[in-house]
Amino acid sequence: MKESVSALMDGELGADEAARVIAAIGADESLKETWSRYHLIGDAMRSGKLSAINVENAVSARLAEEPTVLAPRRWLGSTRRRSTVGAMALAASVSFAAVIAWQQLATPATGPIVAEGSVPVQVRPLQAVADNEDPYFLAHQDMTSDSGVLKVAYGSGVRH
Amino acid sequence: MSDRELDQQLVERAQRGEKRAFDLLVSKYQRRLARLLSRFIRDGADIEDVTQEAFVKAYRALPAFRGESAFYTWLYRIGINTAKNFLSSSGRRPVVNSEIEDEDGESYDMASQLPDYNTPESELMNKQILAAVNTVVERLPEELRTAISLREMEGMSYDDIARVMDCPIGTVRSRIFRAREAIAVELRPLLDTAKNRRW
Repeated sequence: MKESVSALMDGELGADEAARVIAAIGADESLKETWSRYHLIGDAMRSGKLSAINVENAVSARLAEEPTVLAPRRWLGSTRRRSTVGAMALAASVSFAAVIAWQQLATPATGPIVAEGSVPVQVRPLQAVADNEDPYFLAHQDMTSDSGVLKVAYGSGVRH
Repeated sequence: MSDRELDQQLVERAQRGEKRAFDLLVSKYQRRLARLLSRFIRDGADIEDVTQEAFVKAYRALPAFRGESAFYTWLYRIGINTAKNFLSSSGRRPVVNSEIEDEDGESYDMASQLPDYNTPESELMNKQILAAVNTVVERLPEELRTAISLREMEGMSYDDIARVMDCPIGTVRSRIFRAREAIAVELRPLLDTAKNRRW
């Protein structure tokens, strides 16, 4: 594990292994000391003069009195990647909805349709659904632009 | 994973509540920050206090850190502001009134001829550590000495070192680790005494 600590401080581990080693250092005081001393060695080699300082324990003690930070932030460096993933998810959702709608349109809209081993659903013309007294549907039917699109009623069984 | 990405991962962990992750950043940057602050503050004890305060302020400000700059650049700015506030509140003047506006934090660390404001005791300790490190490095087998020197002094990646030394990258990793361990073993008697345990 010490060799992994050495590679970690050189930035030579992949993200997953780095995460594993960081967690190990956090759980093992001797690995923490290794991390600290390897950095001391590096500082000593890089400069002909060390700063006579070690505030690790003092800072750690003060942080113990501080409220724990719980503020994950969106990092600028990863915004583009996350946006791309979101766009791909949205595109996949739209494609899936289009396929389902096409399948529904291609299916005769009479009588109940029972999915294999699943809850039966019934496809009815819009007017048939609008005729019921579902207040949520009545309140939002104006938001649909295409009155010719068939509506699917989901429920525990066939709604009549 | 680059050095900056490693810092980013440690910061993100600290932002999720892992204080130990922030401890690792303190271990990594405390001496570099103290060297920077010694350009402003004369007394060694004050440098230590301000360094400590700067880290605490950085921890409190972590929710605002979004990675626009490298962590150390952000930390050094907090350190400089903390030092200026300290000097202002104590009515003292900075040792070196340098205007440091460079975006690159490493440029802060260039002063190799810093004035010596350490206590005699701490200065002796520094010299002992430096002497021990230099002595061990000189005694290392050539392949270990070359690998650790290229890494620590030249900042080369393992991949580049492997090309220079004409060996597999795994061998570079092993050599650098063995060099560090050899030095750490020699430092242990010096650092593990009760008096110097804080190192």
